[in-house]
Amino acid sequence: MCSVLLMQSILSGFFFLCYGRRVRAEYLSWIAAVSAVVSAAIVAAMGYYFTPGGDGVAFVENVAWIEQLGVRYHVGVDGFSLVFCAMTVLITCAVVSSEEAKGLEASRCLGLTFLAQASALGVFMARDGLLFYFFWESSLIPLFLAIGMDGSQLRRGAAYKFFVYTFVCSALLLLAVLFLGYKSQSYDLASWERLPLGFYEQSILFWISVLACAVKVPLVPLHTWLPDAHPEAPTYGSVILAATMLKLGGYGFLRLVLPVFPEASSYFAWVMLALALCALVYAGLLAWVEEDVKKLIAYSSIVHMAVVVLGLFVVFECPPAVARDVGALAVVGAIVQMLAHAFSSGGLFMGFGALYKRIGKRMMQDYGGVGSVMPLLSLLFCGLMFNNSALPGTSGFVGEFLVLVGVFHVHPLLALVAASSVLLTALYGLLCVRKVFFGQVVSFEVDSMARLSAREAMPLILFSAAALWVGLYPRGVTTVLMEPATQLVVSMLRANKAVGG
Amino acid sequence: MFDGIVAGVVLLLGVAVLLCALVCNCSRRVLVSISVLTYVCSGLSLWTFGHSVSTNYSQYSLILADELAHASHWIILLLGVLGVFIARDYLEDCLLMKGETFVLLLLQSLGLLLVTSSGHWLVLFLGMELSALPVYALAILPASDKRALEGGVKYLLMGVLSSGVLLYGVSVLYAVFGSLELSIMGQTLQMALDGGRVSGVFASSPEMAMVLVLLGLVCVCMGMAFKLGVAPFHYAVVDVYTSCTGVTLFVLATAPKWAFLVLWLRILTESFAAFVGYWQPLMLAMALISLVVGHGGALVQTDVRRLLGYASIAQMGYVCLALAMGHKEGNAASLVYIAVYVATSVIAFALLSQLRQSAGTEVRAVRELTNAFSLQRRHAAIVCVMLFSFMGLPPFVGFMAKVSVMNVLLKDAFYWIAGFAVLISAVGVSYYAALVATMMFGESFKLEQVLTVSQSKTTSLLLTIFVCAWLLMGLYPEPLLRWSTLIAI
Repeated sequence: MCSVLLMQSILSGFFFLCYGRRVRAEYLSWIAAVSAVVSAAIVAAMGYYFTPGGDGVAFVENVAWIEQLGVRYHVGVDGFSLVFCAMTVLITCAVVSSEEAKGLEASRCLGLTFLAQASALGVFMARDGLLFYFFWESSLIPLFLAIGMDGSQLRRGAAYKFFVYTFVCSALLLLAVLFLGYKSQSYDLASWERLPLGFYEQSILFWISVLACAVKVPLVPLHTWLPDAHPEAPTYGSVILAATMLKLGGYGFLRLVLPVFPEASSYFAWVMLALALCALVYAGLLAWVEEDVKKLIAYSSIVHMAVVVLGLFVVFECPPAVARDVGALAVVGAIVQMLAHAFSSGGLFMGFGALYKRIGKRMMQDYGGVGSVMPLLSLLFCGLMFNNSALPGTSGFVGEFLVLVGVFHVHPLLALVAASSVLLTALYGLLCVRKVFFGQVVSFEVDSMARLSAREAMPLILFSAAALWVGLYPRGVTTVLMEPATQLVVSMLRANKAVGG
Repeated sequence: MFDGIVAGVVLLLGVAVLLCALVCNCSRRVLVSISVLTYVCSGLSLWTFGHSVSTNYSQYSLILADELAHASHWIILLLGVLGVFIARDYLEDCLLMKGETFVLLLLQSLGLLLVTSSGHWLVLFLGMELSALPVYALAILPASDKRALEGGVKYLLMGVLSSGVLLYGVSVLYAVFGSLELSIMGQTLQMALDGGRVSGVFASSPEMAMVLVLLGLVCVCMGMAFKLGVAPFHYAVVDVYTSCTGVTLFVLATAPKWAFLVLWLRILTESFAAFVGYWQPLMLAMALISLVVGHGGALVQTDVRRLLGYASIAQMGYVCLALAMGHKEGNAASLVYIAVYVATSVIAFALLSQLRQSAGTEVRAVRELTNAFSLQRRHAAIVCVMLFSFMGLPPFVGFMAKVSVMNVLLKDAFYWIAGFAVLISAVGVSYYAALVATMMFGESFKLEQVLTVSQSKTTSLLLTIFVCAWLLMGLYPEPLLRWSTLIAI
């Protein structure tokens, strides 16, 4: 099942890249729709028939791949993977239904989208360390090409910075993976979790892995590539980057850092929490004064992903009596926060993309009174901004709240600082909405903007619906997540005891 | 012994026929056919008569016929055939020479065959010079171009100098061991090495013997380092890459890299295996210097060829890192890396040399490749894929090569060196990514920019098959890794 999904994504990607130009435009969007629906159907089937085995993994495929190195093609899906795969496929459906997928360079847009989906799905489903790294690094290429080829004026520098920055920080991860494979005589992630590593060794490997994950998340101070990449990226590039690629970092923490290096994670948890809190406040303040809407949404991404990191590491600092339950809740909250962020940032970029397509400007001062010209867009954009601001009833609230519960148990003052993310998001979010959508129509250009077309509205409606569904019925997601989160937290706490936390 | 060189004999016969054809003023088509036929017959004879035997040290053997030699012969013949087709395409446009190019290609292949299967220093030297002289001749073409002349002469002078140094080293080793056979030298050294001193060989004292052996070893390594383009003996590589024609670049940068690595591997494994403690730091130092010089040098280049020249120095650095490990696994990793490098270079250099500007001139500056993707979609896309592979990015086969090398470094606990190599590859990524960005992201630097492709259908077909095989290898590298372990010594 996993391989079918991967092959389907890869083949779709290659088909659109190599042959998309020869296919007539109207057929192209239908073929793309079919491909996206097939991916979604496979993931839905995986969800429906999800019966995890003893280790919590279903649809396992384990065959020899590179026997000389001991690497196997080992894929499988557990609760975490299932949610992330569903999110990835939803993003692809949104991009495929968007206006860009019918535009001039539709074949390239579709091809790169499906290849990015393939690499992300590969990361989420890989259960072998080198296979994980294989897909992790391959995710760089589609985004590099998307930003560089279809972006705006300064696209070359932005793509280059994104590519080199991310590569440098994840380069050492290869050595960590090879070292772990050699030490445990196997590249199986499950066997790495059982590997007895010395504290010194573990610390070095921990920081190497954190470096790789933190640059993808992105965690301050490794975040500077994101505010440069997003404004220059095309709409579909921004959506994929924000909604899928950033989650690779979060997933890396979940799959690699926390289970494999629990003692080091426990020892350095306070550093990660401190970084996350600083990132939260810093990026929030930067977003508050930002005039470029796309950059504002980029800083908003940094804030939300900092909350994710908070939720993942908070278990180590919780009081032992409640650590297990609160910690599991915080981990679930972190994952739901990632989902919510995918919906809101994906939707916000799509919505703003519609505006950018019309008048080609990114600054807030160039817009004003859009609400009276494009009411549907205003409704959906505001709704997604509310999701961003963790309004109860939206998925953002679920994620944010669960993480705050965890932080509160560490120290109420820290929870106050963490809660400032909600305050700051509301501040800059509503400020942006007021400047762009409310008030008088600021110019003739804005007044003459056409209303949202069906293709433009579709992804926004999709994201809003998803955000509302998870917000009003979080059980749909949390039931799948609770079990693996609890198992993860239990293993993390065992290490916590060993370190004396 | 005949088994090892049957392919070479056929090549020699082919050269004779080709020379006769040249004298008879045959058309280019006939000359190309003869060359291709020679390679094909050579391949057939290798298939029929050449079979792998394990090296039998007790027999006196000038030519070895082991798995490594056998595999090398196949590679050299395959690259030779590709070279003929690329030369043919080239000669269609640039009326350089008529048919002498093909003679030179055949002779170079013959020399490389000798190099990869030599078990004796004289045969080794004969092969080296036989493979180098045709390249010297090709490197100065076209003679009307001063830059080509300069690059070619530099290459000639440096090549001759390094051959001289190597020969000096060989003569010193002969003076000590009294034999020019690689295996006998190795056995004698093994027996003579007693508690860190070399005794029982011709020298006034064990200390003197030690000095002489080390001197010989260093001189040989210097010569080999030049041939592979390893810093700090890389001086001529960059200049000749910049100034030579596309054909010469193909001929110079692909098959010889494989052949000379195999040779260096043999020398170090068969003759100096006992001295690994001495040559390991030397190799590691050369590798690290190559990485710095190669990546650092390429970073500031504006000429495509020069950039690729420096990049090749860095790639040889990785090969030397694996070679420095001094055991079979390290050797296998170095063979994997060089095989991947050669395969990728073949495609990249062949495609780049086929791009022509409006005046029919070759693409030289990076600027001239601006927006190549919109002008020559397929060519630019494949070149960019090759560049991604040079960076060591999955899902391409360059990633697997990098993994092999890093794996052996970590297994032998060279953590700092592995970390340095990986981090400096980030420098490599930056200039390769800049080249990709220029080709795929830039606006046309002048409105009337034209990029045409000069490529025949046959070359196109051959390269397509090659690229498909190359792509598959990236996704399923097991055959490559298994093959390298099989042939490594």
